[in-house]
Amino acid sequence: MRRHTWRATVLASVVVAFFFVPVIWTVETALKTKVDAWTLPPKWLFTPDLSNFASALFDHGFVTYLENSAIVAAGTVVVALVLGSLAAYGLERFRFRGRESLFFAFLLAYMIPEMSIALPVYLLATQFNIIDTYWLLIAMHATFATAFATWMLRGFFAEVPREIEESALVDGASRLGVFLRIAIPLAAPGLVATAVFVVIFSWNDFPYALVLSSVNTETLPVAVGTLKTPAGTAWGEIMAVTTIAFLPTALFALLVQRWLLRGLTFGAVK
Amino acid sequence: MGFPDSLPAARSSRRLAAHHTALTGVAFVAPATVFLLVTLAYPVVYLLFHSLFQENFARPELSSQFVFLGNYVSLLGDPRFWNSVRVTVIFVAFAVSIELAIGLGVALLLQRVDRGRRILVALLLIPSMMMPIAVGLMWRYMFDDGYGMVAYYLKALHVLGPGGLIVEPLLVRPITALAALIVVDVWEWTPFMALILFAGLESLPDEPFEAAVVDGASPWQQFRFITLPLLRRAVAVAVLIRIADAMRVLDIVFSMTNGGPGTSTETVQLYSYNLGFGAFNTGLAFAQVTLVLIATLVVSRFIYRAIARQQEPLA
Repeated sequence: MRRHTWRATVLASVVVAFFFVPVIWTVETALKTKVDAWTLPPKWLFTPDLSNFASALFDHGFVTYLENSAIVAAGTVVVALVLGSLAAYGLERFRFRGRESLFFAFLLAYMIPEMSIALPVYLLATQFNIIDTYWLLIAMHATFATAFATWMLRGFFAEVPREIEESALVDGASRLGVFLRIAIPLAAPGLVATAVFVVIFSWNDFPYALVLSSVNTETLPVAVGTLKTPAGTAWGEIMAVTTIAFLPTALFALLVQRWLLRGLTFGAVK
Repeated sequence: MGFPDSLPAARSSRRLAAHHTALTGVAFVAPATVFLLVTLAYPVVYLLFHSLFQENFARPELSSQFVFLGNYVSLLGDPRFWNSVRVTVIFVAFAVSIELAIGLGVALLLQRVDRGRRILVALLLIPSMMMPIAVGLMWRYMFDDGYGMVAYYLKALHVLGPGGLIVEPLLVRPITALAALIVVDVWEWTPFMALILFAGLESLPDEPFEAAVVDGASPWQQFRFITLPLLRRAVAVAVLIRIADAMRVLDIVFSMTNGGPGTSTETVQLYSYNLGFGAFNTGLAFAQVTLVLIATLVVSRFIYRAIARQQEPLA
């Protein structure tokens, strides 16, 4: 009764294409000369031109912003994966008082709006003189990333067979040894998928970066909105940066396609 | 066979072992917990405390005055606060229900696709992977009245412009500006909704449908009386996650309208930012954040329960 039809395939393709049009338009605008970009009716076919990319990267200093974003994302992924995998394993494999509350607390940590925490952290960081440092941004990104990683990885650790771990324990391995040498390798695909999501979250984050970064650590999402020329908003350059920013994300997303849904729902939907 | 379990010595050693494993579990969870206590719990305690004072956000070193719940009273009497709540509620209600309706349609459609499903799913997820701030900029460009692609085609169809359904430029009138934000959220997140519901559809058992066909049920009856009831847990999880996300919308608002025209699209999160970095009123900002945290707590509780229920096997 689940009729698979070519008509449905065509219709679904049309729907997907419709959702895809803005993405195509972004890339096209990035590749247009100023003249083509201002032409009405909108030009769908034109001679591509790379000057927007060159201008954004070299004249507007986006190489630096790309570097800053990459440093913060890399730091975040290390902190979140180490803390998150330990916590997920502890919550999945052991029963102790307060376990349920901790699960909920981690969910809450993931759900709290970034701006709500960014405001008090801004005042605290100013007092402690750590504002506009990589460490501060990494710590705050790692806060929701650790909570996310804990929820996400818990499902992957649950799929590691207990029998293998128990036989290693009988053979005299320590709990930490079992975690490092059995659970981690067996949950490796989950760790990769989680890492990809953490990188994307950190890479795309705007609220923390807006409030907590400045000249030394400004990341891509904050910088892209400030792209202006004397003639007004530099749309060509903005679209070029958007395209550049999206490339690694798209690549990563394809890499973990199997676990995308799981990641977007912090492991709730498999 | 060893000693019977009831022997006191065996029982106490097992209890000792259980105690030991519990401690190991705590040790595994401790690093992340301590980290979150520093980066999250500490700022929360700090903001709760300072919501009781009158302070300058830009000059926190200046003298502060204890006003107890005064900030909360001023906040609840501030029309701009209620405006931001109203804007956010409208945004969430429209965005999430449109996403659910279209998402369900797309999910049912995907189920009937015979070829290239993987590619379609991969392409569908692209909007939700894009940098939200860039998504907002991209749509602002397309909505622009002078050179925007969307505005151009709406004018060509006589929807926009003099004599059309919408007379003034899209981001200039409060109602169309808010509608534009909803359109962007729908674009970003309908695919996500579709894919959760699609996964839910794929996991439904075949038997009820086979029985219904035997009993001569129409496709609509099958959908209404079998698909929908069986899908309700997946729907609950998807809708709740979307509500929580839409409640904290900031990036696309910041880059598309920045709350304007006036404060007609100022959402709760943008209001938080403006209280801090616009009005420099620490106490008022933190009182508002406290209310936001309470709302987050309530919604998270619902999500937690929905996830727990979804992971039970279907009855």
